[in-house]
Amino acid sequence: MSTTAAQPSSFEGIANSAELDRKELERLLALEAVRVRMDILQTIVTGGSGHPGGSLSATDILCALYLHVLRHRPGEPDWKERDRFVLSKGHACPALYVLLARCGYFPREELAGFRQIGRMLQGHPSTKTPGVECVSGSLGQGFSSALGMAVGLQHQCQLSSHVYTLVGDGELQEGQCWEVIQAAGHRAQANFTAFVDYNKMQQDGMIEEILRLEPLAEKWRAFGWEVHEIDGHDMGSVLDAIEWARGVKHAPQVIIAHTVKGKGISFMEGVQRWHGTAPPNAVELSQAMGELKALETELAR
Amino acid sequence: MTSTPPEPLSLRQSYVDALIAVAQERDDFVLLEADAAGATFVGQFIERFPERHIQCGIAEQNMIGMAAGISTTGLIPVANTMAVFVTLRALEQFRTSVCYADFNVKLCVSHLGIDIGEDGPTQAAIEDLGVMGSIPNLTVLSPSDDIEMHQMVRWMLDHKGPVYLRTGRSPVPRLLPTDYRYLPGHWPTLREGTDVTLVGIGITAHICMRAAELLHAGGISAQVIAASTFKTADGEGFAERAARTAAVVTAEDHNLRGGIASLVPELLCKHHPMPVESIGLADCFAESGSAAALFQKYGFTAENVAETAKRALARAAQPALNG
Repeated sequence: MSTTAAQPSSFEGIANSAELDRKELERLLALEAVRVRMDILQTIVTGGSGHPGGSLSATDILCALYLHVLRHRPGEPDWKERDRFVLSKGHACPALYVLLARCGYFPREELAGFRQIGRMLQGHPSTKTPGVECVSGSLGQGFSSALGMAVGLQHQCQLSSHVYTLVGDGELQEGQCWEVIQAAGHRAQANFTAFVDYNKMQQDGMIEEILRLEPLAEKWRAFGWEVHEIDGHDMGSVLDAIEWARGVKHAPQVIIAHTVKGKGISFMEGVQRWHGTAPPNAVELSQAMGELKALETELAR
Repeated sequence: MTSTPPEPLSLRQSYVDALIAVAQERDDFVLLEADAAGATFVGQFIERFPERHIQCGIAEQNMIGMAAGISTTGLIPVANTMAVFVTLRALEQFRTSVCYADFNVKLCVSHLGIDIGEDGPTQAAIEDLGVMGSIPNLTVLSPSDDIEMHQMVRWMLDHKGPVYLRTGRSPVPRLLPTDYRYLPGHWPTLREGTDVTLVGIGITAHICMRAAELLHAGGISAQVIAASTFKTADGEGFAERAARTAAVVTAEDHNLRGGIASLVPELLCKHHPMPVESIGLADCFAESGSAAALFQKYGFTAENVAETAKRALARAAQPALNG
């Protein structure tokens, strides 16, 4: 059970909130995303290193999935009928860990052990962590593993379980990704949904300068996927896109989510040094937390 | 022996025979391959069990990644292709997605060493033992006949965790008794002997057996041992048997660097140091040609093993040098 079960914005609260009207659901998820961002920053600061930029750009999508969409049982991580999620851009694992903790896969205190010796939260996702489905972090590999999950579930006619994955835009420069995209398209793997966290930046610079991805949507379409483009920070669009994906029964689906690296923190947004580097210092952390606190107050009303 | 020995059989044929036999008893595994069903012989399995076949196309990195994912759904993926394309091209996928995760994935390969013959060095794995032998969590199996292959295929599917299994091309005779049972890590003694130990792996175990015959004719008693489990070998058990003789010769269709020429001295130094001579590719790529001609040229012959054994024994007879 979640340690925050008493709060209305907990995993249980949102997951079982069928009676909520849609706008209220979006507000609660957005509010939760602000709190998740706070925990991400704190986790990276405590851990002494990590990748804030790409964690923050993926946060809203991960919140929608973990706090509302996925059918899963945090107290029973191996539940056979669960939906699967693979964070293929494994360097964004602070966001994943924070959400797994919020859902109750492990105590929130574990976040303080991020990247520390003898603790379970590795620098990139490993199977040591409850709720992590596979290893990722070497780019392209999580994506393949996710496809394997979709294929394995289909092979066993277990189509009530859906497989979601999130790949980075820079990650799509890996050839292995295009092997996955080709194979899933060929197989018409309809129980498989990919998100692209399209924040337009990679470790050493802009995607467009380092190795262009465009025309990205056309490429996926040419490989046999159904494509939907959204603003990856608009909770309504994220939820709509997932609903759209679940309605597609003849092909794998990709949701190209246009995002902002470092989203939510004014001095991090679109700034290269926050890809993965030394954590924010005390002054920066304080400023970031202040901004998030203000947003939380606004959303909490 | 009351029955006549079976005809020599390629290890890739033994492999697919074993897989088909086990598939009739259990339905918890699926076969993945990368457009190499003809080369690996698993096409015969696919004909029998088409519903258990997952075609991955010529995309080995994704095949290994998919195998990792499939294993999380409760099925055992048995991935197949030619060794070089997976142990090198898809090495990082296997190392990280499969072995680091400690997933229940089996990787079975053909096209090892110069035994592949005419296809030449681009298609021949001569480094796979060194590469796979250095990955944690992995078991590396290299049977030398059909009996051991059947035992290992069964063990592999019962074992929970990543396994790498090597087959082979040239037909080889049966060496082990039908009641042989594979023990994890154990290197079977194929022939008893008291003077010198010959260690082979896969195809070269057979060359060692013929060398033992030659040595016997010359009055030298050779023990032959198959290095069937490359990784997680029972080093002490092997070294104790080797220590009953005066010297060791290793023979492998693989680069000397990283193969049993590296492993055997490592095990012996730890338990029973003694002279070791080695036959294999001397840190070089080979070339196209018939397997027989290549074996001749690169010294993978019973005659060369026997001569090398005599050299090793001569070394053993010399007084130890002061360190």
